[in-house]
Amino acid sequence: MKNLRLKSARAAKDLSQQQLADLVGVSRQTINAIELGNYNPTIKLCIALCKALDKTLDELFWEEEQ
Amino acid sequence: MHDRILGIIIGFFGLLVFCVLVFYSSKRNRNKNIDKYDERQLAARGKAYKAGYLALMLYFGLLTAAYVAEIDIPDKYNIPILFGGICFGLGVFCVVAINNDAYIALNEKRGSQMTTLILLTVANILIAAANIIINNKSGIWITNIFVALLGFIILAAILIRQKKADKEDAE
Repeated sequence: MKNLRLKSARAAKDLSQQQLADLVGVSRQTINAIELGNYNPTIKLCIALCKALDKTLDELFWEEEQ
Repeated sequence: MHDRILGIIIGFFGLLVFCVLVFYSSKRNRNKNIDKYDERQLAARGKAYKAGYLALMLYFGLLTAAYVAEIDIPDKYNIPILFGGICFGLGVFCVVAINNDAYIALNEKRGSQMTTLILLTVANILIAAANIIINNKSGIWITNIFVALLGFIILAAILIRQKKADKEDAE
């Protein structure tokens, strides 16, 4: 499932995928894969992303039951 | 016989120069945390290693079948054939890793990687060509063709992946 919240949080901070990747120490393709829902990050990376985007884990990664 | 000894000596010094270059390059990059891959890349490389290993097993399975079928292969081709298997497994690993954006490390530059590959490919083509010209009957120079082919395949995979990534970015 696509992670649109991550994408919009990144856009709100005016960060490109490469810039966000550099902030958290991963490749741009990893950020892209997370946003497209093609990769599930570890909790360590989730926390790093939350810190970089000033968001909580729930705000970025909680999945609502459908 | 003298040509073979000369070839061994030149090959040895070539390898020595290459090792010295790699050593000084790694020493210079030590503080830059070389060969750093992120978690997604490590997982993808694990899958690539598996694919490469299975490709190697398939190759040696076919080789065993050829042996059982008593297909006659001249002895001088034994080493190139075995080396070809290693290149095949390595090639599969590289292509799978490249396709998953897990070949080049975070702090490696694509440009320098490609330069190294081009130099490697061209050097091996030249060595193979030189052996063909002097009519070297030993057959060991076929390994140079395998290395050149491997270099070419990796380069092509990197370029194709880059084109695909550029297209995805544009979309």
